[in-house]
Amino acid sequence: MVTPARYGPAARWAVLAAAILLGAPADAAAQDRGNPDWHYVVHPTLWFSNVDGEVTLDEAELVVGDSTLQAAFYGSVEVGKGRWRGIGTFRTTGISGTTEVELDGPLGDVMADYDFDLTVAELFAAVEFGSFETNHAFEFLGGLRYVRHALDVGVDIGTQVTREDWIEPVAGARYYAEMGRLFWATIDGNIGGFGIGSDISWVVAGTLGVRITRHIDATLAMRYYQTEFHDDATGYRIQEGVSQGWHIGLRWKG
Amino acid sequence: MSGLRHGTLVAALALAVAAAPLAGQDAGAKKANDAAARETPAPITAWTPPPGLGPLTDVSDAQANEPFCCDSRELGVTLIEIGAAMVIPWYFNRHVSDDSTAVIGPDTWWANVEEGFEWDHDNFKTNMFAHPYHGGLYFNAGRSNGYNFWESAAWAWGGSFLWEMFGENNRGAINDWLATAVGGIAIGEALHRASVTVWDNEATGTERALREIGGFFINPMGGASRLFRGEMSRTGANPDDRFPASVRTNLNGGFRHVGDAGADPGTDGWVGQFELDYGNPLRDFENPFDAFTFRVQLNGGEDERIGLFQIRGGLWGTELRDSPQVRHTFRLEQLFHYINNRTTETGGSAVAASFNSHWSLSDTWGVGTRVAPTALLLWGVASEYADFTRRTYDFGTGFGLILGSDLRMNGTRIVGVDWASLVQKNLSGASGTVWQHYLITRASYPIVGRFGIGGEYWLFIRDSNYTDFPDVYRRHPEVLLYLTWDTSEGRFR
Repeated sequence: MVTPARYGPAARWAVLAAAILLGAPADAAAQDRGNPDWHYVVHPTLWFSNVDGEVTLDEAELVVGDSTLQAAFYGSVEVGKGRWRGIGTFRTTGISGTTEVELDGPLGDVMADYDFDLTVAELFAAVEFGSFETNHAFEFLGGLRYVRHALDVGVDIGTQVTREDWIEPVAGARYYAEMGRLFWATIDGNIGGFGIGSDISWVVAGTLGVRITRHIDATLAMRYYQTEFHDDATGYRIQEGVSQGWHIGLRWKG
Repeated sequence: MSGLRHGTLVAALALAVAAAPLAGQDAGAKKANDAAARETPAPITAWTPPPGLGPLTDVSDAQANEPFCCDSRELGVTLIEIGAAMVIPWYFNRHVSDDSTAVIGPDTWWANVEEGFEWDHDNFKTNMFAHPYHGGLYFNAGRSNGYNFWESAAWAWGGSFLWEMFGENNRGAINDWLATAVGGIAIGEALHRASVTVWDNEATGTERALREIGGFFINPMGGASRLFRGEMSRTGANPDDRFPASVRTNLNGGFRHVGDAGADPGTDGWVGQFELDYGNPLRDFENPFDAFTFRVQLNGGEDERIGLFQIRGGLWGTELRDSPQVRHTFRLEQLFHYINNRTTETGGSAVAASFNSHWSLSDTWGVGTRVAPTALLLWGVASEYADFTRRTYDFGTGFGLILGSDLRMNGTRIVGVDWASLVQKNLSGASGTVWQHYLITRASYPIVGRFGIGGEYWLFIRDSNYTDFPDVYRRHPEVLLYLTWDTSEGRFR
């Protein structure tokens, strides 16, 4: 006599998850575009980034930068209905190293150790244009970007700790293209600041996505972010402050 | 990249040469345009080929109706052409020019992947004209093989990215990636549309040969695709959308004076212009670039022969109001702008939200207006601090406002005035903000048949406010007087 197998809750969840994961991606494209129901996307990525920029600290100038890719985190969440969606992103990275500091006054140039951490969080509202019948779409987005710089510069006589953060308005666009049943790509960019927060900030990114299952895509992306910022009160200024690098991630949509 | 520069010059000249066959095609549109021009703007009428250019009698129905490219997207040919657009410049740089940046391999590829992008220091023409033209090759590799505008745009982005990462051993340039891709989309689509009007699948003999050669120079990738598919020597039906509802081409030639705000006596020389007004910007916006304007200017007495290269194409549009007296429309536009002469360098890619209107004053006269808030995606403008930037110009981004108005007689623009104010925050170069103002006035009047006289006054003002350097204020007036030849016999509509 064969006894029907009994499955516990964990097994049932596992079977359910497997069914979702292994489901054919045939309808996945439709899910990405103009879904009249509430839908969401969770997109954590490993961010292999580098950072560099020219920093002025009151009367000292230094270059922070390391072309070596650092493992960092970047993630985004989207929640939408129809053409509208809200997008939140978060990324953080950091570098440390030794650099030459140009000092005004008798000390001249000295070597210094530094730690630089960058944190960026964004919140956008986006609206999609174009026909859902086509294989491409434009989204225009606007919102706010929060940026935090933490820079510690240590020399023989002590350590200077600098913390700067600001919020700035951002406007941008994202172009989405279907490339057959399996692949899709996006190009997105935005401009922010204009004296409110940073002097200017600028992002451009390209993403290639592969549909693994109905609900999961693998993504490879390149993101370039540059900001120009100064704070007269503290004397902190960064020019051509760039963080860029590659993202490898999984994109869960439901 | 000298090969590329040569290619761009040839292409620009070919466009001017191509004006004649283009004009021939449009002679038949004159009646429709004349009648339509009395309305403002005129309704779209189907273009009818002139009697001599209809299907040849020896072409069988089967051949005449045989569709040329493409029932499906030709991925293989596209990849071959994009590969050629990379390998040929690389081979030239590596083995002809002995350019050290062309020594590439896995080590340089990994280094570029790891280090990412930087801003490069190439000259203005290379960065803001040659690279966008190269992007147009990537774009048209797709466009001429069955991909639509947007899909071809993806090829421009992808091709440019691959070249920057793997085509040279120096770090990829973020400005090159963007200028090549975005500018390449505008240049590519404009040249694609122009070449399609030149190619005639129904023609034979000498005319066919000339058309194939002319189209090839305008759109090399499109020509290569026709060659691959054997379409160059095959007769068949022309595509339904070969011609827009209206088209106007002009060749202008005359005298030019450009000054430098009294700093020196200025430069005098000859000037030659080619203008293409493709489609009706007030009505044709079903597909991207259904209506666009293209303008190239060659300057004598200058080191840089191509002094101006402009494209303004509609990406999307909608009608806001239509009545016998007035028509209001909205059009999202892509702009490509390049000015390079002895007094200034400025240009880049932008998008504009353009509100266009046209009022009928009478059966003969009408007034058009344009209000276009504009976002500068990537812009370059001259800088005095080349020692610091290692360039004669700075890169930046920003926004602006473009205003325009013109007076038209029977649909032909008699007088036009445009004003643009752009503010650019520098991203690379001398830190600061640069205001740019353009005043452009144009007038032309037909004298005899297709020929007339025309003139333009340009005033370019640059007000550069630098963080670390003294501010700079420059005014560059420019005067053009020329004879104008309406090679299309068309009308502004």
